[in-house]
Amino acid sequence: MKLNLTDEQTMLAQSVARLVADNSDRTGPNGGAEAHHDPDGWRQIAELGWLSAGVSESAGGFGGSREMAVVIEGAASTPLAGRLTPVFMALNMLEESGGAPDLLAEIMAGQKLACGLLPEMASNLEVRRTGSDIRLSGRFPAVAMGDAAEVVVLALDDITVLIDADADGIGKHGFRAMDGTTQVDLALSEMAVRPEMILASGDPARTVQDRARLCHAATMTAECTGLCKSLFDATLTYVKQREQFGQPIGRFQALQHRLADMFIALEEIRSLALATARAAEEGNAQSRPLSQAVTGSIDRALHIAKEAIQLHGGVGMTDDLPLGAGLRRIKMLQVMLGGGETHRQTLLSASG
Amino acid sequence: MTFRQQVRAFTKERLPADIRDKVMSGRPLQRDDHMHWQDILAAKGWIAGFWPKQFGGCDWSPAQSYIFQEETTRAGAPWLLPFGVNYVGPVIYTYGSEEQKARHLPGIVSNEVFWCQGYSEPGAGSDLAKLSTRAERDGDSYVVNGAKIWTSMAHWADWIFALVRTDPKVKPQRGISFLLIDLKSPGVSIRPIRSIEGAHHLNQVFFDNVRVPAENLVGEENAGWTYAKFLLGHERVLSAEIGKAKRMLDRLRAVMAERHLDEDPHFRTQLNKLETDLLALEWTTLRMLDAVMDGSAPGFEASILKLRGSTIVQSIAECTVDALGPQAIAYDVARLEAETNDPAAEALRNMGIVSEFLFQRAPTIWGGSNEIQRNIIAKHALGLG
Repeated sequence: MKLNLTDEQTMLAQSVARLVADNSDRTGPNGGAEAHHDPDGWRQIAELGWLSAGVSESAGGFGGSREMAVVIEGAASTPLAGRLTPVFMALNMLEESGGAPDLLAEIMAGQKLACGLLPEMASNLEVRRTGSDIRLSGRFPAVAMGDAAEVVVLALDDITVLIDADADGIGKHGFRAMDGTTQVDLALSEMAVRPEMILASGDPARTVQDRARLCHAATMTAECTGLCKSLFDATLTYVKQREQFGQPIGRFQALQHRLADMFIALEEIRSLALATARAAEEGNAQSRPLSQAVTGSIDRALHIAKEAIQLHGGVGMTDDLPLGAGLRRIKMLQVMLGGGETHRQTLLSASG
Repeated sequence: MTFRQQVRAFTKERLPADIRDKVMSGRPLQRDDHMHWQDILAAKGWIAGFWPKQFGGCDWSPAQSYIFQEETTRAGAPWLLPFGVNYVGPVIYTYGSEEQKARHLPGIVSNEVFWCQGYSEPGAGSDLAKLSTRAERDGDSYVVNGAKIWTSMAHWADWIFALVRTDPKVKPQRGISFLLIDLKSPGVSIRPIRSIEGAHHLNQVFFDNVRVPAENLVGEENAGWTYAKFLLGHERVLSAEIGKAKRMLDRLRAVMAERHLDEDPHFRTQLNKLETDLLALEWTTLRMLDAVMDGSAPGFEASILKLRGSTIVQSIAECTVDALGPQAIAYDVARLEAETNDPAAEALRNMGIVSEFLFQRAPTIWGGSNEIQRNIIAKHALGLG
């Protein structure tokens, strides 16, 4: 079993790191220009192949779950990570359903924007069937990319639905979120599902849903990995530089032990992210370990983010450093529907 | 059959039921229990599987050692005592003389010689390099004076490998030697220390003018610290004890079900946390194993695995007692040790769980306390000195 990155995956990681470094001035904690979709930036990452990373070669991409995780991890300290997640989900769902190959190609090329959604991201989702008439109602209170997405792919239990974002019965309301991005509150009211909108149904639709869930879990754990790596590195650098009582504060054992615990937490996030990427590669949607990996990563990431702020002292409270942005993003991963707390509820409610 | 399947089948077929029941219920094992299982392994040639073939091993890879440990412990096999196989054996075949290899290695592989480890002293615990047990050269022998403490199973052992001071005038680490001492030598006395669960596995070992032949010095005089550090590396991927944690989690789930706590929100939360911690530890172990095997291991992985593994096992043990609730109150050490095996005896099983809870306070202290492990990580992984 080979767990380390291949040469190609390492090259991909380096390419992501380069672009992120080149654009570091645009990744301020409040989002700045990134608050809204940036079509030029998007075309650039499409040209670099990032969007093909989650799609297998047979469907025109070059990757799989590990490659997708590499991209998300590398982009984690920028708002891009949150924007890539719904697109990767849509790509995974489209590939699995085999339903719309042209659309898949357009999304990978950066020409079209799509957003993948799961039922657990909604409140009050209702599928009403009257004969062959299917109507969808419900609210997705925080959809990243919802402002710019042209299509939405929704993986329900027994059908995968492709929805035009401007269709009748869809209401959209944009708002600024805790992590500085624009999110959309997307409401479906009695939206009609016409037969041509159904990409898969029955067992294949369940497979699409499993893959979407694995993809979502893999992106969340990868984002925790990338975010925490930068939060930890910044903190380690800081305690070596900051002097109090005549010496770098990193010489104090009380702080050394806290850094050691942060380091272990980071290593464990990497392990949980790897476990998730592995599960995604193998299509193993066994729900308990998956939910544990998500909650385990987010809990550890929160610990690291709060410790990073504490160990920076007053400076940690300033918005000039990316620490607060990290905390905000991780907290959002925890509380958003389909995120950490949703997985925790799944774990606590499922019997056995 | 894969290696994992072989180990699983062998353990299922050969592990004696009475020993398995004792292990499964957490009750203290006697010398015979350990030796009986180890004799079975020795007969199969699996007692020192990771050793090179030329010394009686099977050339197992780190991954095979991990699988062996996981499969045997999960199935209820006793902890394979590490003192001979994992500790002194590799030191002898790496640094020992030809005579030492010929004399000491066969007894470990055949499970005939029981070793114990003489490291800690009353005045040298975490600061081990300050140890003061003296070994003075006198003709063709050393004369040893001093005391070792926390010596696990010394009362069952035939030999002890000890760190002794041979040069008191240099920097502490530079004046230490690694000495093999026959516990039957005149002047050795062993005093039991009862630990908090009431069992006797710890000892104090006293040396009063004990004459040790100079040929029992391993490697070079005053180079013992190097061998001691080498020894620590040999248990690194095994220190997480994944199989044991899984076994203990199985029991926690059983107790929760028995006590109708499987739907209780508090216990479900606890169980989830423990399962999540174990999932993280298991994948961390696999990652480290991968790194050890391709030669890119950073060297501090032992500390991470030891720290997390000991904490998780400790937490599972405590949670199991919490799940027992008032049924954990009855605790009688004499009964626990004296009574014969009866897996159906719930009272004994419960006492075993209490015993294990108490005993599991030790792993976060032994083998370099978890505080020392954090020091090691801070210094070697993070560059904080």
